[in-house]
Amino acid sequence: MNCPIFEKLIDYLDGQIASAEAGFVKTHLEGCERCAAVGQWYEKVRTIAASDDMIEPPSWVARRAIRLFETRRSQSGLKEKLGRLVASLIFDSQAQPAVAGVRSTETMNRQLLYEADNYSIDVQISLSEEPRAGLVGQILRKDDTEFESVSRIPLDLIREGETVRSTLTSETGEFSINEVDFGEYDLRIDLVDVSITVAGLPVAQLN
Amino acid sequence: MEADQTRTDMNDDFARREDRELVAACLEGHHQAWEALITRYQRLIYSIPVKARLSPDDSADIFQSVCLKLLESLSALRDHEKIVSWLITTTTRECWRVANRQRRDNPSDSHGRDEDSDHSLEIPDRVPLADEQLQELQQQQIVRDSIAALPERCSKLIRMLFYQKDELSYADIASRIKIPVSSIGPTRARCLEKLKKILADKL
Repeated sequence: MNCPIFEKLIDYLDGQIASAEAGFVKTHLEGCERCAAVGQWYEKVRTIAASDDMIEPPSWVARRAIRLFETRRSQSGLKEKLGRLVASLIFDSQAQPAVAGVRSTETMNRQLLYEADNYSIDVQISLSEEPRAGLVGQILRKDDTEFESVSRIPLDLIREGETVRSTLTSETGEFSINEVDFGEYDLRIDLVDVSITVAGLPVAQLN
Repeated sequence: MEADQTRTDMNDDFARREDRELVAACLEGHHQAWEALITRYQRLIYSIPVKARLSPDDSADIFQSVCLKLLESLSALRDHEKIVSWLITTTTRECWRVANRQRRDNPSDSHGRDEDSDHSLEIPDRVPLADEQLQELQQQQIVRDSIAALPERCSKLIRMLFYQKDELSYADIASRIKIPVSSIGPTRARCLEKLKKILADKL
């Protein structure tokens, strides 16, 4: 018996041929392994496609990821010029004399402010859940009111040379890292034009 | 106008390239190749946290984080046959990481959640997605990729037949791809034969 052409097989499987012809194709499929395999292939592909309920991300999510490429490329180009900077500590709330009347719980948060080149890095360490702390902060660039240079920047928290936590800044340069064991860390910030390291970040009470 | 057309043609060209070629082009600095990779895999990456019932914000962050890892791993993936499986593994791990962090931050939320609880606090119990679901996603992605690799007209036709069948009549489809309605059947058969060759033993 001659095999039906591929188009006829597909029409049959899609229920798009007259019943007389359908009967012929059905009978043929029952006795022809080759055509039956084609039928099974088509059914499988059609079933997979029909079950495809993958969700397209909001366009801003995809655009933001596409922008990563240019950001990273400019980072690698510009960093060769600017290199890596180590931030300087310019303020530590626990190095200030205690204000009269402040209760002990209010000193459980430690604020540190660093500067490097045009950037300032504000870090607040919440020490209320010893022996772990929470870090929140914000990176700002002095001449960038739109936050473009500090948005979605990768941050690594490093201890003894090992990256222990990584995160990204928000659209406005803010970041948050929870449940950090007490200790001394380096915070590496991979900005577009420079890589800044906050060295020896003291995640603990001042002794 | 000509520049726009050239850009569109170039984007179409990248969209049809295989993963390995796109990775190589990314490493040579072609941003269109990166855009093509993200466009190709955006649904796959985003669907994993969403299907694992993580919040839209977490899903968006996981998407960004996975894309960043992909960008940083391009050199290692240069000879990788299947980025799909790498992406599924990496995205699943990111979901784990976020879910575990939430569980640590909100230990009471993983037990005794009431039915009206905020969606953003729903945390998957053990694994983000079952293996069968991940395998389904992988197969769906393979079919989508293979359809995208067809010549443009075929790709459009099969996408409409497979993914928009309920929304479009044959007349709509014929008008969109500029062929007579009577040609849809034979054209579809030719396109499916090509698809069969592309898919070969991938499924």
